[in-house]
Amino acid sequence: MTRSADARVGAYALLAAAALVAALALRRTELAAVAAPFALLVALGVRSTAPVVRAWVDVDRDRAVEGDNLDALVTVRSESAVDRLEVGLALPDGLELAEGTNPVAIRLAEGEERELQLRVRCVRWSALELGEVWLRARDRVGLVRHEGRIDRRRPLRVYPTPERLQRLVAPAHTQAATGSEVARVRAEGLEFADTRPFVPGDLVRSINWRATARRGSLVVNERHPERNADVVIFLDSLAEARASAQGTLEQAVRTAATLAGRFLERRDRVGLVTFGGFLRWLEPGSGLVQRYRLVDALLETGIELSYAWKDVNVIPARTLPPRALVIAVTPLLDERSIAALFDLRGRGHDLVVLEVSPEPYLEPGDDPSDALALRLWRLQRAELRASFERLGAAVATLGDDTALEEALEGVRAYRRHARLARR
Amino acid sequence: MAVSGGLALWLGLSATPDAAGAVLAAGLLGTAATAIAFLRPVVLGAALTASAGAYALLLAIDDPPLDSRAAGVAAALVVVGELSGWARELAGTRDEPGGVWRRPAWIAGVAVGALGLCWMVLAIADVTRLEGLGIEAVGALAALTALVVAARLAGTRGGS
Repeated sequence: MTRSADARVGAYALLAAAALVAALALRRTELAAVAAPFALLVALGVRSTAPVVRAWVDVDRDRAVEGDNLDALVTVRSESAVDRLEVGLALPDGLELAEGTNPVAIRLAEGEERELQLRVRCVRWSALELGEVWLRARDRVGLVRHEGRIDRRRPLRVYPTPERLQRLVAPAHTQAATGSEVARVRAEGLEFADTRPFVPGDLVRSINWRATARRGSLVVNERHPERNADVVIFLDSLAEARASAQGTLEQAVRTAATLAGRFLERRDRVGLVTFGGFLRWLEPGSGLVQRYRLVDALLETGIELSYAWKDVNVIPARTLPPRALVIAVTPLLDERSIAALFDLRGRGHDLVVLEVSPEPYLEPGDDPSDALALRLWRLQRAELRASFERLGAAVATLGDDTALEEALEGVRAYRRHARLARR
Repeated sequence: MAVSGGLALWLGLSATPDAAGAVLAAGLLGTAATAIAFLRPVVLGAALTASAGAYALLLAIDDPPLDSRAAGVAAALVVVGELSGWARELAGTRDEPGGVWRRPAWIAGVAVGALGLCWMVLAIADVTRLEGLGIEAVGALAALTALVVAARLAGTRGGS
């Protein structure tokens, strides 16, 4: 433990010295009497020795979801008596105290063990470590303090709360494996597609007997098979808009996690590209393990400043399989990510842009020129969205008052019209 | 701050008119410095010294015979110093339930101890002047101290 003196040590020593000098100079015993208690306190205070204190931290879980409460038990034991021991559990960003007192000052007798119960609320998704305990011990006089840090950190993963989502965006193309998406191709499946004349090799069970009776020749049913799709979530972490604790990145990660979870539930293969200062990617995969991989990768996401120019060429080809649906979750603030999205669309990827609106985090000034600048900026963004739509990429805006479900409905509507236009 | 201000006021009022202004000014300077010491603890020494300086001015200008107010001044200054430390402790950490009373009790005890110690020093200083009952009291105290020391020494040897 590190020993340090309280401001009172210097103050008392100064007062005692000054009073004694004044007592000699003025030949007044009273001033020496005034100095006596302070000199005694300093003499007693500096004799303080460092106590031997141990601490342990137990957290009931190592995984939680945003909004969950965790129970943390801090156990403190001292080998010697401590008159005042301040115990504080360091709470990293994303956690806040829900119940209990932190830090708290306690008194420990020799060999006494004390348990401090704390309840901690997970306020933001993150991958963090919990278990660092700060200790500050003082003896009865309290003029000298002994400070120490005990590191019992253990990883804690706080997953983002999934948003309510009933329907997803249907990919334009499906893959070969079985899934939940009704493919456009015709093959063995459940969904009725059309009828056609019987050809040798057709299964007898596919004959449509009613149509056959009407036409007088064998007619068979054609069906759409249920296939899976490849979905790549493109998370833009090059820039964000932020106001205090909330920013576009929080909403983007929450959206990406929701989409990833829902697509995986449909047995689709989901991959991730985090397009930021550090490029991170996960090749498309399916199943529960992939879900944890994706969410863990999302939790590592942060805004890392970078001036390096990045384009889609830096993304490994295997991460963006052909015929994959690419869902970009982006605030559309950085030119590099915007250029990369145009490039992806240009290369023929089925692209959906979910714009996490930075507007709720803006504080426009009162000056008329500020209002004008804001209007111009909004016009520029509208033009940018229109540019994507002209290329056939649906754009939906996620804002404070727009839920993901609502935004995806806009995407679905756009894609229905786009399909009609292609016909 | 209230204790420091009260001390300045008390000294200013108990001083003669010649010294009152200077004593009050020094005392209020100490009070102002005490206020600053809540934000800048390093100023605490200057604050206490300024308040004690007010008393030194009173002694220098009024030149009273052996002044028993020194004990009150010492106790008040101890309370100011300890309360300043406690205020800083409270700003960062809360005491566990049932432990809140410990610090005020300690401050009160230290103040009483300072009062007693100061009186003792004054009594010793006064012995040569008063003689009589004072010297008897000091003698009795010395004898009692000697007895306590002897008893503790005997206890230590017996225990080993």
